[in-house]
Amino acid sequence: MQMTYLQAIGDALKEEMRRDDKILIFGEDVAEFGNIFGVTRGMLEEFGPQRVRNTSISETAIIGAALGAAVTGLRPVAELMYADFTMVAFSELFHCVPKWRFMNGAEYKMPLVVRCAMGSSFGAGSEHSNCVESLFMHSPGMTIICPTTPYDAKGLLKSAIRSDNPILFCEHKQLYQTKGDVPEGDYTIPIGVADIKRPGKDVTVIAVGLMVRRALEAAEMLEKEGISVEVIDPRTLVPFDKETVFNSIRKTHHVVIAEESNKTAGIGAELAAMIQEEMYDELDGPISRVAALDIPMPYNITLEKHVIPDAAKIAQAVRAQVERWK
Amino acid sequence: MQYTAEFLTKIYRDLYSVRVFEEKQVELYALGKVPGHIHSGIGEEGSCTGVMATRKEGDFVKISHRPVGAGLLAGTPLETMFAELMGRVGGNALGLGGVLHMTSLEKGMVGFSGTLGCDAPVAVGAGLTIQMNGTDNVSYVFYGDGTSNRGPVHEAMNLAAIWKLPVLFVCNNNQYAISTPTSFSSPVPNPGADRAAGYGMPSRVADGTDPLSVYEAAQELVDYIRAGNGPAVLECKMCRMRGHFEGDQQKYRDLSVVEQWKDQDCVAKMEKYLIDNEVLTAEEIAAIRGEVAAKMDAAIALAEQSPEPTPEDLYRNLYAE
Amino acid sequence: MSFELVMPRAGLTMVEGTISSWLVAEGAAVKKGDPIMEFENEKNTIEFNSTGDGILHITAQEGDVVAVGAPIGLLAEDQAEYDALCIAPAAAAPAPVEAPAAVSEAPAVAVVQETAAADTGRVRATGLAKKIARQKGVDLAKVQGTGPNRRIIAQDVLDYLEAQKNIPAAAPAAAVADDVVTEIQMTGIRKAIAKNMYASLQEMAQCTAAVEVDVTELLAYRQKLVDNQEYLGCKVTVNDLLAMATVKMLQKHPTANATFDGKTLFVHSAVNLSVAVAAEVGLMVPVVKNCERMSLVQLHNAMTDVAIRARDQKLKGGEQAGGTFTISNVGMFPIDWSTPIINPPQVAILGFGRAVKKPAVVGDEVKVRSMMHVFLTFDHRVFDGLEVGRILADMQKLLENPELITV
Repeated sequence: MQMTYLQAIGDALKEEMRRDDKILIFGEDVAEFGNIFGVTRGMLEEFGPQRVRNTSISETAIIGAALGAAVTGLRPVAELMYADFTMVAFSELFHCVPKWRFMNGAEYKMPLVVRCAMGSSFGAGSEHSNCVESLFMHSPGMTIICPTTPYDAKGLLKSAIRSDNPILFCEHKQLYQTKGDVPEGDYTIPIGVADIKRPGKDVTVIAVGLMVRRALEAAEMLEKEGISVEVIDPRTLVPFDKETVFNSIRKTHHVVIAEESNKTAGIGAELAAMIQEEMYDELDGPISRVAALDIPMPYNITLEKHVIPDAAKIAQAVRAQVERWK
Repeated sequence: MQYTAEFLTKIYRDLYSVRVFEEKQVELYALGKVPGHIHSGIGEEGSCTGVMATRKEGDFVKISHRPVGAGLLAGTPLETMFAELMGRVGGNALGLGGVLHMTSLEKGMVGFSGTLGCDAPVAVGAGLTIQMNGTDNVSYVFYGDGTSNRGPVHEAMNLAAIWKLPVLFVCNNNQYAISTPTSFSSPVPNPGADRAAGYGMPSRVADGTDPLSVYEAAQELVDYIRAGNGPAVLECKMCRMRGHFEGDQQKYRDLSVVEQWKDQDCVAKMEKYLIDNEVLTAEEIAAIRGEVAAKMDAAIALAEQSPEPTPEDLYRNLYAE
Repeated sequence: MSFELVMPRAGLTMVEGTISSWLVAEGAAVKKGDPIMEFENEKNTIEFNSTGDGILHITAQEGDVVAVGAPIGLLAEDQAEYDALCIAPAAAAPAPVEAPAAVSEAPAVAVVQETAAADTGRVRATGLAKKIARQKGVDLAKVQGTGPNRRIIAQDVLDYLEAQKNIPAAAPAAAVADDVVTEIQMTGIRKAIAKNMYASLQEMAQCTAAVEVDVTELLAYRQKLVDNQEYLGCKVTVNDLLAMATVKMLQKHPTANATFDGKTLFVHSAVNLSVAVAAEVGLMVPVVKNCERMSLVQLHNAMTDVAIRARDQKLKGGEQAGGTFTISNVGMFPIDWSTPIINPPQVAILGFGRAVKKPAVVGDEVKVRSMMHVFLTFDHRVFDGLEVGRILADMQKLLENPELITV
């Protein structure tokens, strides 16, 4: 049935909480208000104040407490509201959450999901629009999921909640109201498996988050020009599904990486480096990155659109891949 | 307060065990058998010994980086601790965590963050688990006077207070954060206890060189917490007897002050108390000392037999299955 | 599904092989394990046994140079599939073909107009283009790049191969082609020799010294041994005596019986003599191992054995490896002396020229004597003139007093 990305996430939370009473959610304004985007609406009523808890504005304590609860037997789903606020709890999210099992031993399990809303959303400005995934790709032990469809969001959130490893679950603000098909009943999507959102044969576009939609638009445009684009949504950035990507490259020999965060030291930087190391002989040209300009996110909406890649920019990068010298 | 001889003997044995662990740590470090750096807690054993005497089955505890030997009071096996200390595969984290991570979840030790203060909220999370489970257990968290100024500690206190979680914050005030004296870093005389009021928590200040004084104050607060009243703060006053790390020349402080605190040595004072009150004879004390030392040596010998971890071990614990 | 046959790897350093001959015909039914093809690698001819069952469709022809792992043929499951394979367009059949072909330099065939190498002399090509070029044996300098910055992309290599295919075997425009160039591809053994010889001179500080030796006595001594061949059971050659003398010399100069990796000199106790053999197919250097334990007769038998098999290309794998010193006798040609190239990682090579009767000064008189040049190329990184002088002095001593050789 058709539902929004936001509903799919809410349903995943509710269904999992009904299944396992060790699961609880906490964060700023998740109870009565139902989270500022409405994701947790109705949950306080269904699950009560013990399992749906508001916190003070204390991101550091939210993450620290979630960690403490997770290692001592609960399965918390902590919420940080904006992904930007991961920075307030950076030490906890970078050092403690991903690395504690390594540092303290195999007894430690961390069934912990940290949900946050990422990305631009029409003038939110530079402290409410960040995409932070690449920062955490640098901390071994953290699993990072960025779903882009209602179906993926629900199936992946369920897998995340059932996992015994810490997971950063990045929801895109601009996707909350998008709709898609979600099957009835319980299902999960394995973590670490990419999805070919559109098959093609000339150029592989690896797109993350909102850029998946933009890449699909670009592919549509390019099809009319006779360029066939394969759009791959990694869905999970860590662990990364190399095989699906490599198989695509073996077919197309051309790669464009599209992401919404700043270009320098971004996701594309890592993926491009990895691909050229492991797939050099399959590449028929340099990998290109389409990413946000290296500038803080402007508040002015026209300029915001200028900073973030759109379908036209992705299409241009794809054309350049297959262009011939005249 | 009236104590049984059995209780006092246990207190002494615990106190002395932590002391020997700290001494052995320094010794092994000097021999080059310990990687990185250590922070000796010699002279600061009174606080953890007194507090941990209030502990019961199902409680959680998060020790501090000084004294790390406090882990043995929670029941972490000594050979596991020494193996972890020396970076051997027999340690709880295969020798990959190190001196600050000699933990045992099975014994209720909730782990430790090398970045001081990050773990105060973690203890709050353990308190949340207790509350959700509906038991009258306590989550103990030790931290220092220096760490008392960090944001996470304050956020943790606030969250524990608004959620009424069973957490005992224990501030080991040894008067120094590396080179910075508490008188400089805190605007209040008691960086632990004086801040409790801001979060509506009760607090007590105890003599950290006297495990019995600590025990009495802790017991009072723990009873309050177990009754479901929410968190509390205990501050234990003492002095850091050695440098921040081994090899610290301590040019930044007047060492004659440290000399004066030597009269207040918690182990010497406890032994005098036991003899004066005819709880133990000098011979009995010597026997306990011998016993503790032998146990420690045996654990070290076992730990030393543990091999070094291999590159394969690096990936064993990164992810749970 | 058809089954792909690929060029196997037969030896540590083998990167490509040249198909010598197909032992079964196109379209023949073959079974796994059947010998179906022979190929040459660096220094051997090796039989290729089928790695599957089916009907053979050959995609790499005799003389083709094929990279290890690249396809050489297909095995069809049945006749229908075989027929389909045969009519498939050539581009679909992965046949790495660059057979020797006469190419005219007429403008019609000059693919080389503006190449990626044109501006800087360096070829700009993508990873994939390089891979295909490697597999198909294409020289990228001849390919025109049409990618960004005139980079050679995969399609350019494929286009080039297609164009090559369309070049007629005979030159169409003889009127403008007054010079006919025949391209002979360096294959198999010849290619390996080219590579090794070039590398040898690139990597070492080679220097040659020579001495003229009076071999009158040596030839007389050899004649005596020939006269008594029934007693010995073989006809001893001059070469046998030269080899034996070399073994004696090496036992006295162990640093010459050595290998060198640029840092460490490995001095060997065993004298494993590499013997240069001029075969039609190219220079072969089989190794006779443990010469220091052999009598003259044993050495003769061992050298004769490897020389015959080398000429017949019947050497087994490894028989050209492990040498500690090389000798090269060019005395059968009208060559007095040469500057032989060291066979790395060895550190010296000893050459022998022809024996010629000429006037020589014996005592204070001029006499007719048989004279021969002995010349040593040595790695100056390892030796100085002093040691070389001593080595040549000892060779002279041994050859001029042949009884010393065999005692």
